[in-house]
Amino acid sequence: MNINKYPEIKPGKKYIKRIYIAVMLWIVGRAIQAACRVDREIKKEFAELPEHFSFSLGVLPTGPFMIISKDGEGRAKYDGWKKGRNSLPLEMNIKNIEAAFKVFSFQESTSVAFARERFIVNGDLGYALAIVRVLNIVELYLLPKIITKLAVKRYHKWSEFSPVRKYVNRVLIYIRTFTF
Amino acid sequence: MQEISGTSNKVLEVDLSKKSFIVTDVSEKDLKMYMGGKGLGLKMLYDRMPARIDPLGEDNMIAFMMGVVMGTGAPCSGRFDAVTKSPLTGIMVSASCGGPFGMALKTSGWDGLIVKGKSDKPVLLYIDSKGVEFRDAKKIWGMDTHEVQAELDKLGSGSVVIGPAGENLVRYANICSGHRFLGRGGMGAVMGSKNLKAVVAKGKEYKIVPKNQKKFTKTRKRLLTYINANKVSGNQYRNLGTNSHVMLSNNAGILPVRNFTTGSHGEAHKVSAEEVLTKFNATKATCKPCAILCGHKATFEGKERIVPEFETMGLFGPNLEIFDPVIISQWNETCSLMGMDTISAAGTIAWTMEATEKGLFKSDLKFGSPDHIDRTIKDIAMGRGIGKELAMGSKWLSRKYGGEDFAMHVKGLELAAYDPRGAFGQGLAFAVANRGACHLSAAFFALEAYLNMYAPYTTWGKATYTAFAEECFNVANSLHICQFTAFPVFLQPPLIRVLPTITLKISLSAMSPIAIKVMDLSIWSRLWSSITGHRLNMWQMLKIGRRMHVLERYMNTREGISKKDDTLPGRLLKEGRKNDPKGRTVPLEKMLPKYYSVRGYDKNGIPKDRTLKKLGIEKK
Amino acid sequence: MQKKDFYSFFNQSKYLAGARALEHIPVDLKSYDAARPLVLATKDVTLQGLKKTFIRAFYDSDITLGGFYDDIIDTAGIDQIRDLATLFHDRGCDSIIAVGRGAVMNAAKGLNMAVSTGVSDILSLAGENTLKHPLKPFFTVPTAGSCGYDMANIAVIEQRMFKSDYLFPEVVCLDPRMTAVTDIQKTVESAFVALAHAMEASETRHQNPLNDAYSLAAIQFIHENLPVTLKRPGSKHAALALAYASAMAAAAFSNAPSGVVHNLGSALSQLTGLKPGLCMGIILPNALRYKIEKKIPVRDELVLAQAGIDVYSQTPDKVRAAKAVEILGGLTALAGKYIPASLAGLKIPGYILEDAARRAESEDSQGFTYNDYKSILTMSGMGLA
Repeated sequence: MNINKYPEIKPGKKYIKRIYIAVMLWIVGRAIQAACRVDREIKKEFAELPEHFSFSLGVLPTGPFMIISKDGEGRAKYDGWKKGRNSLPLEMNIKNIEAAFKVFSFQESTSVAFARERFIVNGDLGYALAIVRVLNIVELYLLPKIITKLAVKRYHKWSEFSPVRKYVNRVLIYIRTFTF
Repeated sequence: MQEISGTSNKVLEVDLSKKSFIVTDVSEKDLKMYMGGKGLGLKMLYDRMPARIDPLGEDNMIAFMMGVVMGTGAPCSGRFDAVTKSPLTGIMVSASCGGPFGMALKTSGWDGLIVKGKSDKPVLLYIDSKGVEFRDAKKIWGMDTHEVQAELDKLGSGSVVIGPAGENLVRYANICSGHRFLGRGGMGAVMGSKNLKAVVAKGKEYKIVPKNQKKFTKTRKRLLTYINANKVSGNQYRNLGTNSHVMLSNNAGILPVRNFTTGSHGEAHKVSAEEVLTKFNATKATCKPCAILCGHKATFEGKERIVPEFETMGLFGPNLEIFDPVIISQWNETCSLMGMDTISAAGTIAWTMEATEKGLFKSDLKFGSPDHIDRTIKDIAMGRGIGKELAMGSKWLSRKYGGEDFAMHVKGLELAAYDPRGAFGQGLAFAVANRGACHLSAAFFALEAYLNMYAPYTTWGKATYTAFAEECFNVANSLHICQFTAFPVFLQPPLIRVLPTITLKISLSAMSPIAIKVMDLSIWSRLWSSITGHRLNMWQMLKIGRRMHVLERYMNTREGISKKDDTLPGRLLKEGRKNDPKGRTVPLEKMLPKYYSVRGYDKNGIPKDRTLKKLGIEKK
Repeated sequence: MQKKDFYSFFNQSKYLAGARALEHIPVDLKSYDAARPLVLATKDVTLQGLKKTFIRAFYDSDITLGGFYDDIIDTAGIDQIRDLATLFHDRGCDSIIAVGRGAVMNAAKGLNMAVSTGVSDILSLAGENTLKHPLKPFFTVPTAGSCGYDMANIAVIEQRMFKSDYLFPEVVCLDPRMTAVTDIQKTVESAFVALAHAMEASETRHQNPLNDAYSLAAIQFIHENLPVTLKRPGSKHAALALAYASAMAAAAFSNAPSGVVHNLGSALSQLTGLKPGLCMGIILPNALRYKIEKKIPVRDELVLAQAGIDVYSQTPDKVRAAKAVEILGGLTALAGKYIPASLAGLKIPGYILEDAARRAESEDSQGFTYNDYKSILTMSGMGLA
């Protein structure tokens, strides 16, 4: 048998999807940092997390990732897209880039992706749920309703989430996300 | 002596169950549509035999058919054909033989003999111009083919007999006449299943005279000139026999070695014709009458034996990694005494060796060792020990024990000694041949590997030529004239002779539909029309060839044959030969659709209604 | 009510199914600590462009494919397995992925036995439960027309049957891109193999709740989706559902002794070279009819699975078995273009049918005799009319 007829196949790369997800993760990461300073609900969620808490959200096996940690004042801080060697208290990884793309292009909501086992979570599940709640609120702010509806399990009602708070905070978060 | 002008058109139909016979007159329409020989035999069985019967049952029929040329003294005309349903493949099979029975039956005034039914005890048929006598064959039952014929010689001038292999229903037992055979497809077992040990014809009662003597003499002369001038028929086959293929195949890399694992071997020259014939004092031993004289006999260690034909030499020799012509000639003789097809026997033994090596089957045979082979051949014929299973052929064995990818058969019929991985056209020819892996249905290997008229490793023009060659050889087998006359008939006409080989090669590959139209085969059609007195031109003749082929295919499709069966053994489709660094395999899938469309089959390989209608075949 | 008799049920495969299922393979390979799978396939996988899809699924992962061997032939035997083992060792592979159907799966299982056990002659492992240790991670990606043998615990190599729970694939990946119908004939055949296996696995004698769950669901899936596929072969949804059905039928079949239709269908296909699906499709309704005639009990629940609760509840107890045959007949009639109604259409000589009945009897473990098989064949010869 001619072995060379069946060469080894090294995995290729999906550049465009990677870049798209990297950009989305950057925006979301910065937005969490911003939202934590603007929205009291998110502030509260973060306050309840332990000291020196940090978590990563990303795509297996090589990224991109988004690292958020809790700074000394109990606020969220975006820590870049590169994961160090140390494992973090909470790691939420999407199993592959296609699944990540489905989530970040809003074809599949975060909760559905969880249900379909597209996520691998290392760490305390309670923290993970807190982070999912945070993500949901951030999405409410970042995106128009028509898209957010696809991404979250249940869109908040008026009574829970007044339009005044929504629009004011949205502007503030956008400003903070894209300025340094 | 009485004379028959043209042909007698009388066929004997014998019913062994009722011990009776009738004489049937062949209608002029049938003769014109099917010429005689194989074609007429097929047609008569098609009319008489229901589909899907047990080949070893009472309903199966076997037809021995003489062509119109037999007995006229035309060159290479001493051949007859037999048609039946094969117990090896379960489909129609036809075989051609150059033994004396043909001449004997023909000169007793019969154009053919169809046997059906089953005798309750061993029987011998004695045929003369008056009809058939049923004689008790208890005395000769169990004798080998030579003993029987010696016994029957005093009765008539020619006979067909079976050996112990046929009696014991070896699926590839053959029928012997003189020292020639109706080799393939297990016709011997069909006779054995009918308890018919032998048929003897008295012969020499009639003289056959062509209707148009002048035209006949002229054509005969031309054919003789061609035969003598052609380098294959007039030199290669005449001096060396078919065994000259050994070195040709070895050089072209299509000689099967070690059950088709490689295509050439350094020791192949030891079994080559050149060496065997000079070393063992060969003399000629051929069919009668013959102008090519390809058969030889020689003295092997003090014993006079027939020199094995190439297929036997190749398959019992290099294919088993044995390079001793003496011992091969001995096996050849054992096979002929037992009445067994050497190609299938050797193919089955090669499978057994490889399966033993791989642990699929238990036997004491191994490649390169001549031990036990002679005993195994006898065991197969007698149905003893593992011989009982080996007698079923390689398809049955591989279906039972595994090893299907190296069971070298197509549709159950073992491959002849040409490796199609070095001649793609032959691969197609093997796959689509009606009786299974038949090297004679298109004999493409000669053009690809020996005569260099086709590039062996391309698929260009191969489907068209395969179809054309099948038609030609069907015609040759229906005339019935020796297939080797195809070499002179194809290659000697002036147009082909003056063209440079390269032009021929290009035109055959690139413009095959046109190129084959330029070929002049009118010698064959003239022979037929001068003898019968009916008009027939070359194109009509080729259409008859096509009709026979499609009829046979149609009969096979009634037995369940379709595209799935038009394939080659896994080894030829998957692994390359060891002597071929590129490891090429047969690109069958590329050629099949083209072939089907040339033939007028649908994409599943079944003849279309339109095709049948065009050829005048009535659907049943 | 279910009987309280003893039974056992085992199915170890993890199923990755649905959209983008292929892309999940790398992570699952990781979880088996494998990083260099050898991929086996037949040539048509490459020709249909599925090879490309498959390889793209590994993009952006850290899995290197040790090779994509796409020359598996229909009669793959120990020769090819030996070649594959060389390739496997040369490339330092640690797992096997089989893409396709039939021969590929058998070859892959053979290869797995060869490389995991280190036995030089794998044929010595033929038989039931000869494997003593788990094998290397074995993933399968069935394509359309995979009849479920792939996902079961058996392998057939060189006509020898290997049966062991270690032969279950670790992961079965059913992705709509791979199961899309490319050859409707093969798909229909495979559906009938699955149907035959499911119906026979649900038979009264080895009935148990777990087997029922798999087999009845498989029957339901086929009855719902085969007509859709026949009407619109392009429907990926239906094709995937048929693949699910095959998977479920395989799980049920793995845990039940082989039935009449399976025995007879495989014997016939072995003797004639016809596809097993074709033979089983023709024999199945006739075998059921035969059982009813001979008063061998047939499950009522078949109707429930085939046609749903409405039809089931409207049909009186006593005629439910007959109703099942009727519904099945309807399905075969729908597939008439691909599965002829009677064996007569296949042109099988009588003496071969007798052989097949004899062979089926020798495989039989349920007390059916030669005469039973013969009569089923005779009934099949006449068709449903």
